[in-house]
Amino acid sequence: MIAILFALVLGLGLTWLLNQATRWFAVDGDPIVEQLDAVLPQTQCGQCNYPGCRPYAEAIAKGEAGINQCPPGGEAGIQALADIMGVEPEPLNPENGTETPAVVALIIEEDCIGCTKCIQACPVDAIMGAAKHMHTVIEPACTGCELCIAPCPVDCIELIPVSKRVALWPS
Amino acid sequence: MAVLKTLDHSLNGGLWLDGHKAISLIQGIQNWPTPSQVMLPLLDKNGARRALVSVGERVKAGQCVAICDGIAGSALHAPYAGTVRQITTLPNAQMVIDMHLSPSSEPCTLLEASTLLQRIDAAGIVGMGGAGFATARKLGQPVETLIINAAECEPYITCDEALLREYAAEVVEGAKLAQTAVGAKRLIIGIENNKTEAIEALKQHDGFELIAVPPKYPSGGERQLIELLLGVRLSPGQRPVEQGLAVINVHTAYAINNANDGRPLTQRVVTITGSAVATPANYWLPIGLPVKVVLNTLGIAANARVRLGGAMMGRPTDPNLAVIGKTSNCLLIETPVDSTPVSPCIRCGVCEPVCPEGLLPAQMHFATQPFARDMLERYHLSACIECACCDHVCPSAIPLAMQFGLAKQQLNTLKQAERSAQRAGERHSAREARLERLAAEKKARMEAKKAALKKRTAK
Repeated sequence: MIAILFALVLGLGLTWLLNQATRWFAVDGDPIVEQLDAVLPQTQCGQCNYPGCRPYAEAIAKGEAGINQCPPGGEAGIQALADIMGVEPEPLNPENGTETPAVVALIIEEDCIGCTKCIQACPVDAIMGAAKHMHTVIEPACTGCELCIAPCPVDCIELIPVSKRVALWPS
Repeated sequence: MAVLKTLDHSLNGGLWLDGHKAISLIQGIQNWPTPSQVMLPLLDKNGARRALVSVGERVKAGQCVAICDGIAGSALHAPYAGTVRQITTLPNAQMVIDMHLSPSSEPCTLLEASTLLQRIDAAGIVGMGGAGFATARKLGQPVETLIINAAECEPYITCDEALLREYAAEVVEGAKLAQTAVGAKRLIIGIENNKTEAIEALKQHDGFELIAVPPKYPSGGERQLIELLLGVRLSPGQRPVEQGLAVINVHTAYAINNANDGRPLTQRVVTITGSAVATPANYWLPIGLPVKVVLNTLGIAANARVRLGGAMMGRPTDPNLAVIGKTSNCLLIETPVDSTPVSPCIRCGVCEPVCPEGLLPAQMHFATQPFARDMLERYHLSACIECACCDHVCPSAIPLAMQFGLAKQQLNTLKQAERSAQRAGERHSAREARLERLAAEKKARMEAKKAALKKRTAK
């Protein structure tokens, strides 16, 4: 009798403890999403068919999207995503685009009419300017997502390769 | 009269190397004939410069021709009067101001700046021992102890020793100016104990501590010298200023003295030595002198192998592209010999006891081939000072220091990309939050207006 009672009390006690533990140690948000978001290139370009890197990370975590939809991340990025998800890496889906060298946007300032359309399109606030005043790209903040190209009514935005870093060692 | 204190303990690791120094010290510092052309590079590892002159412009000797907007870079000055021929890009993607020199009787342009630090900045002084970091920036942070690094430990290089033999008074004066600039209580000159003539020259002056260290390579490494002189071991990645220390090179101290008199940094002492050089010596070379002009003037065969720097840390250089820079302390020119073929690592471990930073070069070698980031970080790749002691003892002749240099660069590029991705992510979420807030504010405004309208119509 005592043995049964003891087992019952122990069982109930531990159940309560486990229950509380899930509340005490609960994590806000999905840690997998954080990890996936951290390895994505944060270009916010939308080539993966999601409105930004975090929504894409959320979709991968839910199993809605494949890991091969991010062209700016390229092969290395797919490998990193595969490691986190514990799946085999797969080649980049050509429907999303191809891996290209890093670029930044450059506004040809003589042609700019100051319409602010590119400012509204830029996902990382990397374009400065005001209505009817010339706009310019803040180069270090530009991710080369190309989202400002299409809205420009006078086609005055060009993509140029990221300026080469100083080589410390002769190649 | 300074009193010499001699240390009897040497650094951990490192190598006792044959110095090959006496041959280039037989003669004093030689003057170099005025060249007909200099090429002043607009880019170095500490930042890109902006040219202040245009093509065809007449430039006076000592005139500032380019400035650096970054914090670590330095200004450039014309060593002689001349005309800017072109601003061009060399085949190695280096942009230069190509100047055609013409003799002029006009005096050298003097610097206009009120404080010592401003003069050092305007003179374009950088760490001339190799780092090339802007000295004005280094001396802008107050420290307790200032060390003058006269421990020129690398084989073949003798420019600092030659400078001390002939210009000890100027070097000491520059060191004291630097001491005033940083407000240091202690001024220590650390020198190797085999530089007897230089030590004698320094003993004639006072106002500093003179400490001689054993001539073991790399005692003159900044971190190594600090540990030898003060017993302070900097942790990996820690800068001397965090321990209240600053280290400057002998030639930098000399340049500071010049800058105080208003003279910009336009020339430096360079050791020209090696088996292909008939009479090795130290020369005053103008900054921007093309290396091929040096080879032509000295009549050296075109197939000679040129290293910019000493036998250990010097870099193999294409003489047709290289120019003398502010950190070029030595031109080591050797007749080509068949180099030992590289064989695979046999894990013998001889590289490990010689590493002055206590790293494991063999393990790091495996982590660079192929590049394995987590392994390299675990083995503290970034602490490698690229002294090439491991190369020197490697029985397989593996160019370890070069591999580590490349891997460090690759690691830095990756970290840089990560940092900018993180910044982009932050900017994106800040934008999302702002758009949301604006939409909410707009909605609230509309509702308030509607409510006000309703109130009015109800009346």
